[in-house]
Amino acid sequence: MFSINEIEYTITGPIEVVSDTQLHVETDKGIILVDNTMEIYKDLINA
Amino acid sequence: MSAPKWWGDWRPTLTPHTGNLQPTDLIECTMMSGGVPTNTVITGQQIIDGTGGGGGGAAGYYAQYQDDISQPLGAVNIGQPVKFRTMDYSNGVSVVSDTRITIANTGIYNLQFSFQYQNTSSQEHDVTIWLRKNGSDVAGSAGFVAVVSSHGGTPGHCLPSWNYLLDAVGGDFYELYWSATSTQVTLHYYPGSLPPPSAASAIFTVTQQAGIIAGTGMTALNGLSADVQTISTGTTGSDFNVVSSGSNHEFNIPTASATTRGALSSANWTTFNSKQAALVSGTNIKTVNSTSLLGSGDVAVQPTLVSGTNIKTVNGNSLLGSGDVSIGPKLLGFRGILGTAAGTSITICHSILIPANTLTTNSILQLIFRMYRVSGNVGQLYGRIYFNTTNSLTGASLFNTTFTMSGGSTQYMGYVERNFAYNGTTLTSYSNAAFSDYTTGVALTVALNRTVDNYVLFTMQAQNVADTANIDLVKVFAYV
Repeated sequence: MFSINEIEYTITGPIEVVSDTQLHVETDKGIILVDNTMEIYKDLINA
Repeated sequence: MSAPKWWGDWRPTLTPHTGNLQPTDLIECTMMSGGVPTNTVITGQQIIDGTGGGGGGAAGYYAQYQDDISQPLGAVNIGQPVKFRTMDYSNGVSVVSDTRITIANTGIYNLQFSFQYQNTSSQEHDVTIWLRKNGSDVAGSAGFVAVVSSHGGTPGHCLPSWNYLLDAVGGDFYELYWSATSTQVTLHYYPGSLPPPSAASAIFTVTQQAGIIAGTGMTALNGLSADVQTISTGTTGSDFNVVSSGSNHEFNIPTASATTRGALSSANWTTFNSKQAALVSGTNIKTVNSTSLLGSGDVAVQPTLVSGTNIKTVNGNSLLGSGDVSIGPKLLGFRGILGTAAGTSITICHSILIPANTLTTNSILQLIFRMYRVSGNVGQLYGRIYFNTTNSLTGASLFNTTFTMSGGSTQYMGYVERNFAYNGTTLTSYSNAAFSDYTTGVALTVALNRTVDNYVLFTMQAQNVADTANIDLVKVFAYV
């Protein structure tokens, strides 16, 4: 689970690396783009 | 009886004479008998000459008149004025119409008279004498005198004499009236018969006691030297002016006009009083959009809008009034130029804002964009649509369809269109990589809070670093 702009997201599916700095994360609120400017990025890229 | 003698007890140089009295004479006419004064029949008047050493100061106004004609009584107990038809001296005091002792200059005067009465009746009769001022009897002025009866063939005589103090305004006139209980009483003139000289029927003297003495004080006012002067008002001329003529000074204040300086008329005062007060912006004159209306130049103010005249119509519908005009799809934005070039990272080439509360609970969002391979021809190009509350990809929600443009060559394009149904909370379309909307696919939803600003992010990504992707056409419509 992570939050962006005070909205909590629950990861519900695969994490797709779409570029060197960007991920697509499937959540309960749809596919969210996570980039390396976000805290959760490192956790997700290493998951 | 010896001859009468003129003498002056304190002016020993006075020479007896029978001519007119001079202003400096102090006289008494005294009947002498055996060298002893026995009877004073006339009391003379001392008239002080300012140039002399006796009285000092300036001489006042004066007069002495007498009458040398007998004056019979017209009717018993009917008053009649005493006549004074011979002037002895006159300076500022004169007799008008034989009877009116007229004072020319305001002041206090002493009026002294003596009347020579004769009674031919064998009975004693009364005489009444009184004063009239400007034609009216003066209360308290009357005096009663008895004239003795004739005796031994000689008429009876009486010489009443007293004085009045007059408080006169210039122009006032006085008359001495008399009446008797018999017409046999007359004011009688006796011609001279030695030893006495003639006896006047009536004598008066008037001498000024107070006031502006003749020859003193102001002698002229604005060029006028009349003893009595008046002031009047007028409106002639083109400015305030004084016209002095004769014995009158006319003060003229003309009515003010464009060419005349003068007094303000009542009508004009009312007009001026009704004028607009000085304008003070925001106090007695409104502002327009906080702009003062004072000063020169125009204040730009939108004229009244008249549909079809100075404001266009939409499909024949007036834009005037409140509420919305339904004009079909609302163009939220468009781009007709290349945006930010994309490499291997997902990059926002163009974004369009959907303002808060644009979408309703029954809307359609139509998105159109055209992918453009700007350079290179190695890998695939991926077009994607995201939604975010900021103009950023961070945390953006992907519409889970990737539009892939394979192959082609440089300057290659692909036109994509997607229509989303919106129910107030969720955008709904379908999953299909086909560029056109005329296909089928699995329904896809993206949550969207319509009450806040939202951005539609049109992105591109190149599979290979040798390629450059972009978007050169964007159209976003909202059916609301």
